Amino acid sequence: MSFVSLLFLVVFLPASVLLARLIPERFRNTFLLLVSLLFYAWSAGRNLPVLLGEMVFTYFAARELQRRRARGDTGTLSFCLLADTVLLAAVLAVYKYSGLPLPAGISFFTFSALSCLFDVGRGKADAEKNPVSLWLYLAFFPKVLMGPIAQYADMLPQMDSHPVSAASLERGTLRFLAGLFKKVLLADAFGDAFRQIHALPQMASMTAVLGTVFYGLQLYYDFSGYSDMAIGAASMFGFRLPRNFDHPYTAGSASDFWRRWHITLGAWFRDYVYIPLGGSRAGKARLVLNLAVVWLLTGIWHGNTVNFVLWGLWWGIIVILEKLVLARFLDKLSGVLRCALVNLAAFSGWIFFFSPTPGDCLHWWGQIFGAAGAGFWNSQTTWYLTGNLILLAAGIAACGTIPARLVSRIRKCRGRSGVWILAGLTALLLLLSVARILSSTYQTFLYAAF
Amino acid sequence: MRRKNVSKGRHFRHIVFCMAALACAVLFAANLLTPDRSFSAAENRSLSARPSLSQCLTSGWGQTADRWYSDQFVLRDTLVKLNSLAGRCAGQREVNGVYIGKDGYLFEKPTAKDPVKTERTAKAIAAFSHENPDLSCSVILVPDAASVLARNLPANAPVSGQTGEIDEFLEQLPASVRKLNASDALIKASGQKTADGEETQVFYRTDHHWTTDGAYAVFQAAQELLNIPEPAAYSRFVVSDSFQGTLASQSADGASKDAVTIYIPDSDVRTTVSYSDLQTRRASVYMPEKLEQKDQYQVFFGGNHPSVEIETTADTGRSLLVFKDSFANSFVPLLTPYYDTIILIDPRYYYENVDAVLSSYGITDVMFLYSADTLWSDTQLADALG
Repeated sequence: MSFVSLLFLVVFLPASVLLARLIPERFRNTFLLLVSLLFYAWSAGRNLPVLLGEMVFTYFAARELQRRRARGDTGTLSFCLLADTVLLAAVLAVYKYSGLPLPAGISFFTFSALSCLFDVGRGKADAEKNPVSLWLYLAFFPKVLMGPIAQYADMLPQMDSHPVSAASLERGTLRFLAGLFKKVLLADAFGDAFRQIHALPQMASMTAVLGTVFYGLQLYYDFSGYSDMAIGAASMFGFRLPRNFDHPYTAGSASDFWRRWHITLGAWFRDYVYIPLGGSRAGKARLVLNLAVVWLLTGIWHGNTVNFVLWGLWWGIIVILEKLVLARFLDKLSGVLRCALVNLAAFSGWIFFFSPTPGDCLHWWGQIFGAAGAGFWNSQTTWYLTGNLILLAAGIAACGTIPARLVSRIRKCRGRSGVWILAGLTALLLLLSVARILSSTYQTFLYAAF
Repeated sequence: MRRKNVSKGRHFRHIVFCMAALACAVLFAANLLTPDRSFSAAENRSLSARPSLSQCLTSGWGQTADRWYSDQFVLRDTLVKLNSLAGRCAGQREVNGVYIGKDGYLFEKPTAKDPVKTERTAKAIAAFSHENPDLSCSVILVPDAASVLARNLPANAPVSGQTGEIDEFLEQLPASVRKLNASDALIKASGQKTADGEETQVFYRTDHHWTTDGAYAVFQAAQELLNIPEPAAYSRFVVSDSFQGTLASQSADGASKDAVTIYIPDSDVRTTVSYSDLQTRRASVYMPEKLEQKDQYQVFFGGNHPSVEIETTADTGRSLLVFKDSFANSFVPLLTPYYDTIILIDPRYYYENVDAVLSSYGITDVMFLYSADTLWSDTQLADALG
């Protein structure tokens, strides 16, 4: 089961929202926890024990840290925190590198567990006495598989009180639908286009560039769409999850890009790694070291192959150079040129993502620079461009604020006509989304006469 | 003004929420009330059955339930067609591996030629011909529709030029094997007009097979190859005008329909057809009952079988063994006046000894009739020839 399965959209989510409203408030968290565990079991199957194990471990570990802090036992507190961190990181590492099937969402809920232990260990928040509340924070189904990574101290106050108002329900629905449209109508379409190009044995330079653009847009709309769906679904239960994307492809610098892309991961590394290491306040050499550590860990977090390490180093080098050397030169450039350079860095970096090995990366770069001998632009390039022109235009336009401004302009139409036009458009997009989800399950077995 | 905009925003959210809630309620009810289907004619497969609720806590139940709900979703086929239409409105000209061409034509994305497999196949045919020097061996290869009807392809559609690929393959065969690249005959026929003044249709619009008219055009070009000095006259009959084939299903495009034709020799030759897998005998190469089903191409021999034996009253002293894929199904009925016995073998389903067939039926001629799309990735023919 996933957010884009029809069983979830038509049955699971509406039934959960309805029942959560009907159940007395004192039982609501328990109900949501059970629903979340059911969701995880139906999504990840046999890996539920991993999540359960981390839930139980985190509860007792946090309580122990709280006790040691209360006693003023800072020495053993630090040791316990270190041991707990190593243990959780080891579990993550075993699954990432041993070849065992990776439990769905393990990177996300492990980081949530670490957030809890760090916040309790540093005294930023108390250990939750009620295990249901803590376990719900870790396993809450809107965010358990793909985030956003909500920090424990920010979520804790909501666990005791998360009233559902008409506004939160309606806002949540709208956000959820926006995410659904991004994921199904844009991301999946870009994914199809990218896979067709990626399967070509050789291609012209611009075909390879087009493929890279398709991938970068697929990744953005897939992840940001899912995040919107998570935030929207959480809102339907009265929870506020943090924003995870803020138009990253409009960023004017590398640092700005990473304040807009996967915001909660960046915040996690900033609050729990970068700042504790000294941040930017311990001299230039230490700054470089701290950034290198953060970007190495970021790369490792994203994947278990050397390509992801290289990708982390790619961004690390760019961010370091920008902070130390390039900033004053970049400031002299126009906003458009700065944005173009950032996107060049971002999309180039995604080549590490879709290439299984460094050799495949180099092969793709070779294709971009014409190593395939297929020229700069050929009929294939025209085919993939013209067949996806409307999609590409929509995808690029939606990277910025054009959709929001368009919605606002239509809504301002005289009387209520604008509102009804938007509602009609939403209904059409919902119908097309359902149609597309169904089509992804459509499989023809060609007749035996083949 | 600002208050008005805030109120409009609230109103919009309220409408969207009500709409989404209503949509969920209607879909939930509709799916609950609609009985489950066991089979999808459009997809030619069985649909998932409802999983047992008693298993809902077992691993894998979620995926099974998902699959069931999607398979049984109300208006599934209509919504899939809507998605295909939406894609085309957005400018897409490829849906699920099918190119959306001009004039209602659908084209299957070409199969890449596997050099290792095709070389092995060519060597196997050459070896077979060498080991059976008394047999008259011929090879007929049929290109895909994209190679013949390039004018109907969407602009810039990536195609592989199977005409040239077929020539390269045939060059690997020895001189003792008679060869025909069907491309020329099909291209020539596609430019000709029928007696009704319409263009000859050599490939179906909605199916990856050639039409019987296309098969007949290649038959006429192959008469010398097959040593048929005096070809019979044939009468052409249209047996269906509602055929929607594999490509229509694959692309969920229901716009076009094709006519299915058959050619009956004017001579009084009679046939008896025996199907080894069905354990039945028929007095015709055609199965008219298949015209009532989705895949009307199965009117020819009822589709593919491991082997088919055709006995005729032709009395020519010749017996033909055909190694084939499904393209031969609409070609072989044209050969019944010229051979006393015709044995069809589909190596994808046939596991018996070919040498036994050669000796027991007194085979005089052997034909390999394949589409390039099948042969380029095939290994079974080489395995069968041993």
